[in-house]
Amino acid sequence: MAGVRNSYRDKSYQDKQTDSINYDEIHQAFESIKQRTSKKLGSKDVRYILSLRRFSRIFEIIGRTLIWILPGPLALIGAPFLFLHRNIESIEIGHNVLHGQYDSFSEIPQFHTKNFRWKAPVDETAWRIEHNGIHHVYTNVDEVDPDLAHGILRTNKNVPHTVWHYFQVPIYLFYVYPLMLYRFNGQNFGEGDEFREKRFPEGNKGYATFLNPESLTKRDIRKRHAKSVLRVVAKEYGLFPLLALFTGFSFFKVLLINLLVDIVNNYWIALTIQATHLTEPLQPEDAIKNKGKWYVSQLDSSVNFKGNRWQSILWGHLNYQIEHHLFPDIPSHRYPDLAVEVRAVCDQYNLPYKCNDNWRQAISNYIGCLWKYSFKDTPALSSQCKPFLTKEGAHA
Amino acid sequence: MPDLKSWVYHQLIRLLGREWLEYFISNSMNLGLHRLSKYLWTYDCKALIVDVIQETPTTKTFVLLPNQHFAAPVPGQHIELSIDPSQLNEGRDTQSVEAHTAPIKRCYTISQSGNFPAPRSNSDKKARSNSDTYKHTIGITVKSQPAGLVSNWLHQQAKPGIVLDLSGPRGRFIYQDQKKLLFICAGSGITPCFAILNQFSDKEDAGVKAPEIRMYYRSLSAAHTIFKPQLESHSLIKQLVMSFSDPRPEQTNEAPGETQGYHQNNRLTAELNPLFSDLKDTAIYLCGPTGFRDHVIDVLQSIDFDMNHLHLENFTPAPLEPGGADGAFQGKVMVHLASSNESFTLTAKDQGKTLLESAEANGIKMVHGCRTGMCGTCKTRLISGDVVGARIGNAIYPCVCYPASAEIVIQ
Repeated sequence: MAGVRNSYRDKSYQDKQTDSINYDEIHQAFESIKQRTSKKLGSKDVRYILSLRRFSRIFEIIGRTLIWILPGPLALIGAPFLFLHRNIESIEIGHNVLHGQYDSFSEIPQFHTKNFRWKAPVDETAWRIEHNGIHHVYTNVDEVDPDLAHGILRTNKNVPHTVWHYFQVPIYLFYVYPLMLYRFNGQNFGEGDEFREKRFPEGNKGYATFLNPESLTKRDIRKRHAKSVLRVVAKEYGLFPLLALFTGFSFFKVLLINLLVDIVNNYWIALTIQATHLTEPLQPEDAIKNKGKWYVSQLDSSVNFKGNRWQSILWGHLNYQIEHHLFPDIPSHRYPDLAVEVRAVCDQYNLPYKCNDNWRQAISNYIGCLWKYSFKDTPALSSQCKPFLTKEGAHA
Repeated sequence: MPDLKSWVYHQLIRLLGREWLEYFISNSMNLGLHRLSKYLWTYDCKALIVDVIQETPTTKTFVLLPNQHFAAPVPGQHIELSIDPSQLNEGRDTQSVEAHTAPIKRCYTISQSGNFPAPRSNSDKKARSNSDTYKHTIGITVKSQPAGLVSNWLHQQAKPGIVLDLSGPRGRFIYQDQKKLLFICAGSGITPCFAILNQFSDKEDAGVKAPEIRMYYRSLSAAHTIFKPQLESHSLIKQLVMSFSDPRPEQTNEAPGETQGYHQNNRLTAELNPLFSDLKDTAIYLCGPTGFRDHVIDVLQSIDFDMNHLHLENFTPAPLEPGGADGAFQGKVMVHLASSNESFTLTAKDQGKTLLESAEANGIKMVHGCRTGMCGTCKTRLISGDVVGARIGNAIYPCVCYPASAEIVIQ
């Protein structure tokens, strides 16, 4: 089984099957799924996003009130509610809205990309360019996809090994992930490039570099970075602790619980988003030139993990990573239904459809890969990455 | 208490500036705050009337304080007011208004922005040099049209404290670094010319060399001449010709005969002639009623003026015949990006290019990703006009759609 896994890892699906794929038919098949779903979009999607926002607000009110008024450790009862609020706002609402999934509904201007403000410390415009414009198009393309090897990460052997990589598992688990969302700006504005240029012998070789598509000056970047962080920090660590203080409750209790919730939320998001691409093979750069090829490269570079509909909301439906990457601007709550159609197409054309059994398995696969590439040359450890349950795994 | 509200809004915009106000408002947006103030907590561009100034018997300047969504205008640009029919019906019993259900839209030139120019000689008028009062405001100068729904409503009903819906600044009737300018205007056509003129009085202190300016202004009578004192005392106008089509001074509420009069005994030709003595390197800015405009164009044609140097203000672009099997537009297309207040015109060389490609060909950057309609990065909102290609409702993908109307406004 490990052999199956490794062959996937080394070469992309397209490189292995050079002449047997009919890209035009595949293009047509996925395009028709997209058209059919686009026609169905309507009041159901509006109701979905509005009720998400309503629940998020209710959780926020319950959470913040309990944290505010309950004494000492009892205030921790409010933490799960606050977590739900921050989680739903960060991924299921924020991430999906900024993909433009709700732009076509004129009745909800608050969920249009240009109006929406993320309740996360991330600059929306820079993120959209990096995420929608580069990561979602050149997924798993070496030295192009910034999400493939972000920060100091080494997840394939094209990245030159340095002494830092020996420690990448603890660095990521204990240093990067607890404040994952606060690191996004650094990547979207190219601040990681400077670090690698300075510390790595071969500089940015093997990493995607920031091309400054908006032609920003250093000052613009600092300002945009600061503004996007300020709104979250001011609310979580300024406004609400101070409100508690002025009404006779504990400043530090509120501050600490807010910090705890922030870290849990960041960790949750980090583990959700990391396990869905990085274990997959590198993709050819020219896939973008042909839409059929592009669909196949998206299939080949994404992996789902299973969960029910309620869990999926807390994962921002990123456990349906394949559907998300095939149709990034279809509202996310439709992915479970889309998955059935996508799987049928994959069966028909014998395309890869990869799925982990559960979140735990996805995480352990991913940490295994991180561990494997910590070392310069480690064929012995390749069995750390578990094989995929290609199609049968997805059918449950 | 509209006055208190206006004062609060004005102070907020002054203290924070539009950029930080936008930051605070957009990040604190929710339904409750939207109900508290539909002027601030909104995604739309809105303006508050802060002052109304009677310029002439038939013309008023409305001083507007736009909210944080209003981009800085370039002098000479116009805005589009959208008035809700229910708002129009208030306080009047006209039946004609009831026929409308969609908002009624009218374009008005921004005649002044930021600080107002020198105070008028009339002592009873407010001193306009008081820069604090008018900072961050724009002024639109509106003439009351006899049958005009919106202009009459503005003249009769609009008072400080009312909030209006408006578009961001638009239009290409702006100064483009020419050395010599000649303004030819009539009636309320003075307004964009006045705005262009006043940007130089601002720049004068900064040491920027102002162009050589001459002006021809036709109006009904001395009393109907908008901005007469400011024009007469303007230091930058090298040559000013004011002409009155009707010498009777007591005439007040009657509109000037627009089409008749201009052609009478070639008076216009005679009056314009002295201004045409040195037309080399001169850009002509022409704005006025249709009859006047056509006649001036006839005169310019007769002297072989190079029409590339003629700038016209057109609120309603002439309809161009649509062609091509796919419905894409063949002629000139005006595209305006509302969020960045940038415009460009598509010509024959942009034929067959997508909106994104033609924007880039015109040196304008638009956010984009895959360029094939897959990633949704470029997805934006169509405010007016029409496109063919990838479109769902008002959401369009500029990377895979083509213009299909003569004027397109996107967010």
